[in-house]
Amino acid sequence: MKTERVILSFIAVIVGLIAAGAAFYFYQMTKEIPDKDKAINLVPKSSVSPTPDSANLLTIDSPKEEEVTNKKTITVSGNTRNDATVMVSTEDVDEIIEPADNGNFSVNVSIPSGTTIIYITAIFPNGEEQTVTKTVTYSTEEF
Amino acid sequence: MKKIISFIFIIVIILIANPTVVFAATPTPTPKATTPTAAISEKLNEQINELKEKIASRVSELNLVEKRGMIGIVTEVSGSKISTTDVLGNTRFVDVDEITKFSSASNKTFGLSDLKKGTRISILGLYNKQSKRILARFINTSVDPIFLSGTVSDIDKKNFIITITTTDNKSYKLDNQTSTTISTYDLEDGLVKSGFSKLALGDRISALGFVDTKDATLVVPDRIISFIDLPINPHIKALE
Repeated sequence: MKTERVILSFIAVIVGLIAAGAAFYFYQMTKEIPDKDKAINLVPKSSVSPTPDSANLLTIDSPKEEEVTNKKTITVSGNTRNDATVMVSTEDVDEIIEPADNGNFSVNVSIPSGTTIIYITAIFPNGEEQTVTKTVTYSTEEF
Repeated sequence: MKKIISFIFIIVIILIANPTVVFAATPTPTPKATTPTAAISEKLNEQINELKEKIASRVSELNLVEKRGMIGIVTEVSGSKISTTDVLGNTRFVDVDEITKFSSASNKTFGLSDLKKGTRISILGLYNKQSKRILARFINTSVDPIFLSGTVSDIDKKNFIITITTTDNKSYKLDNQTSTTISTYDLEDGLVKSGFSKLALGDRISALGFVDTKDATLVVPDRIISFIDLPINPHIKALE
């Protein structure tokens, strides 16, 4: 009787293991494994491609395009090469500045009433230049 | 023996079926007795929520619209809608309504009907970030200066006209007037007042002026700056 119990218990364990194995197998069959190639493609191409030559660049932080202000003097700031010469021209005035060591520059310029265009030009040591325009409006009208 | 086999069979069935106990995500609400205080509190909460929604709606509305000023050249006028091309070359749509104010330095009765294809206007109004249209509050005719940067490619000393070739290899004639301010710039001295006679062929200059109303091929410069210690732009082929 005891032997029979042991055998039956053994059989029960085996059957249980088979059932658990079958369940695990089905689980693995339905599980989606991420494709390695696809995972690599998720990385933006720009981060793996060679860095573009950003030497002769001019970016303007302020003013924003089509900004409306109630001040006659506005700050023009941005970044370029630290060895560039930056000229800011409005209808009223020209300001010429040399950027800081990190390339940042900032200058206050007066603007006329109404809508005007500010021309910001960076002249680089090799003679090349880049001009960015910003349309700015001085107005005290409430609407 | 039969009992043991039945027991094992039941165990196996249990293992295969692998039943799981499912619980509700949120406990079933039990009915509560509503007291008058609870009813008032509930009503207050509802009102607060309504107010919150209204504030959120107003905030998003305000964030959607902002004041903007732009300059554009009219390409089409249709009813109360104006199509323009802005200074960056983008097509922009402008709406006008009964409170839009029109003005022009040369025409006191200037209005929507005076807008023609090619008219240069400045628009001040409310820009809708979603529709990307401007609801104009003020429209004025606009005369803007022209900014030029390039190299002196010809000098007419007799007529005080200098020709400047710009980066895109276009040539402009600058008709110098007595009101024109000419300066030189270098790192050491900064901006120094100069004169027409100091300008030379090949100088790197920038100029800001207005197109001559009588002769559209001429630019009347307001200011000219000569950058004496900066090299000329290698892309300009004026003096090759």
